[in-house]
Amino acid sequence: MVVVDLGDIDACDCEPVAAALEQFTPLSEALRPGLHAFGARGPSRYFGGEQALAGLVAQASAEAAPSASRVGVGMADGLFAAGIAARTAPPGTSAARPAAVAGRHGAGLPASAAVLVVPPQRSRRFLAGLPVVSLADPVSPLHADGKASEALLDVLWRLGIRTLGDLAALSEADVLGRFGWPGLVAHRLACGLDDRPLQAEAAGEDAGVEAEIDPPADRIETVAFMARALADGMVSRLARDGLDCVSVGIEAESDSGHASRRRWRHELRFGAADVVDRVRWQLEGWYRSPERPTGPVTLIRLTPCVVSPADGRQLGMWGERSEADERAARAVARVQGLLGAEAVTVPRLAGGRRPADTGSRVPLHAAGAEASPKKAKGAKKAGKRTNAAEAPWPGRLPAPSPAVVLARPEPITVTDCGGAPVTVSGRGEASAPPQQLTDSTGRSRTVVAWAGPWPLDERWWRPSARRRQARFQLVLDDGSAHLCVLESGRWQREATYD
Amino acid sequence: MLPEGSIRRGTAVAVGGHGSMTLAMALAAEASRRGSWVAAVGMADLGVSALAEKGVDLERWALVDLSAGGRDYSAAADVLGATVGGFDLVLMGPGIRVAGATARRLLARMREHGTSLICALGSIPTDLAAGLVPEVRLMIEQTRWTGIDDGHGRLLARQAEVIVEGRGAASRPRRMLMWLPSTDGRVACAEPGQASEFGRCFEEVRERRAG
Repeated sequence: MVVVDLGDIDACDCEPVAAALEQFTPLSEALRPGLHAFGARGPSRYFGGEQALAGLVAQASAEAAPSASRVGVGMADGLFAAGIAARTAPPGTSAARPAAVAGRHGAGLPASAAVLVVPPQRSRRFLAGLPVVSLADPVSPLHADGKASEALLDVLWRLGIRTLGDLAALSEADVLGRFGWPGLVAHRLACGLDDRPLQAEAAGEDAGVEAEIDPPADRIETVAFMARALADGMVSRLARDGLDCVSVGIEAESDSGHASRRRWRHELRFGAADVVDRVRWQLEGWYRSPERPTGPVTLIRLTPCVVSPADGRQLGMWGERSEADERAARAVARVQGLLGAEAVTVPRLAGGRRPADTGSRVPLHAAGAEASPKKAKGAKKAGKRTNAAEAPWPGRLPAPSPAVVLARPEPITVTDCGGAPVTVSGRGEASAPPQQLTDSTGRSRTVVAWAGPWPLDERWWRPSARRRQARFQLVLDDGSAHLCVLESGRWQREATYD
Repeated sequence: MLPEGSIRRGTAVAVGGHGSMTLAMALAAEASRRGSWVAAVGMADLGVSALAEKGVDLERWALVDLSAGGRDYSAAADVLGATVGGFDLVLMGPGIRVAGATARRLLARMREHGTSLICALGSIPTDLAAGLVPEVRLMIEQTRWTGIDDGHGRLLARQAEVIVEGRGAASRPRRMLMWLPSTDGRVACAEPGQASEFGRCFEEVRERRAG
């Protein structure tokens, strides 16, 4: 992730910077005027490495915004670390630029430019030395909720936690138990884990909204007024679907045929008023840029780009918050404080053939991150939200599914009427009808009904991950029914139809 | 299924016997379809796809693993206390024992917050420790799977005989015949015509055992 920080700069002077960044990537986003971000993986490979890219970006930004008090370019794994790097890079570090850049551009970088590249996987070490107040920086997701983050920082300070390193050294469960959700976010940020998706993905064609402005508007306020109604509709529609808009594309067209397209990112999530602010900033910049429209604005279009399941708590399941939702969230935070963050999981359907694969348990803090980029990508390709769970999975056993799926399958023995273990031949035939099932405690029960064997051969293309098993349904004389499998000569009870 | 139609808020229901997990899920599914939040405590072996087949809204479920990180069940009472205060319905897995004073505090907290509790007692039910007295007990006495034979077919549907007993309206034990689930995946009481047929087959099972 690359973040460009231009210090305190007027909204209208940012337009040339955004245009300049387009030569590096088509997906640059503005967090606010003077703070731009884009994913670095592709561009850094193309422009000859991270240092080279950072140098070039600093050069281009400084040229595009001569009025900026400073030009900071930061590069790190996550948005937060990159943003902090950009904002704290000491001026004069432009010496870090590689010779190739200096050679190509002769003049080198202006004195006001500062570049700081944090190597991959080093975000945590880089952040460790910084004061905890960095958590309230505009690049942090905690910035949006000023009151909560102020309270959090105040308490952290009074507890003697002065640096992000101190915070990262605490156990996640303790921080969560004491501070709830803001604490968990702060802790993850301090550890260099930034959950916000880096890759911008469109939410789908149909999610965008647009309005023709008739009569065409020549005042920014008129356009902003139209945008307000559009943004209200878009945000509430996404909220109804349980989604948050993290990034929005804004397009404006004038009757002279000019168009302005920009992408804006919010540190937490867009509300309608935030979208309108961005529209206003973008238009101000557009009207003063060299490509300014000569006629009034005729069309405004909003496209939500990155949508993540609603709520910063990343439960991924709370839409509009009601009192009951808040109550449940508090209870979850308390339980996580008691047992650790990993103890609370959310059930999710997953694709697979074996009972253990069809349902997965996603840790709460991962539930949001897991859902957003992947699903958005799938949505783009298939045109609607689909996932592996809805795929047919030939070979999986039909409903009813077992109500108890053992986390650790229990080793058992299954014997025929002669007392010999039941085996399955290479042709998928049982050696004899199963007669007796002995569980791991040594208790035996008679098999009264059985079905199978159903062979399953998964991932045969990768020897290390290959699974070959024969599945049986066994009903015992006490009325219980089990799903038992024979895999490389060993019998196991995988699930019970309890 | 229950004397008052559904679980009364602030009360506990216990289910036991073979098929108790399916029955507990079906009871919880009713609540979660109405938009309630559900927490399953100490059910590390819960089958997620079976849950989804009952029509549960998975978005409103949280699973609490009491044995996370190699813990024993010592925190169970505290965890139950916390979840009972925040969720509308709490499912409690087999193996959790809540004793005397803790149980009474838990019941008081449930009444205060209007939270219901479903205790899944497991296939070989043992009594809950004194104090946590359920309002209704659903004990599955007999079950019979259909669709499966000696090497043929597959598990299709299950007939079950459930004894309902409890306090108040349910003080007189009732015998109920149920599909757990039926061929179309629903958990429902058997219709009168089926019921007599059910009853006959359970009689046969009993006679065979006695003989």
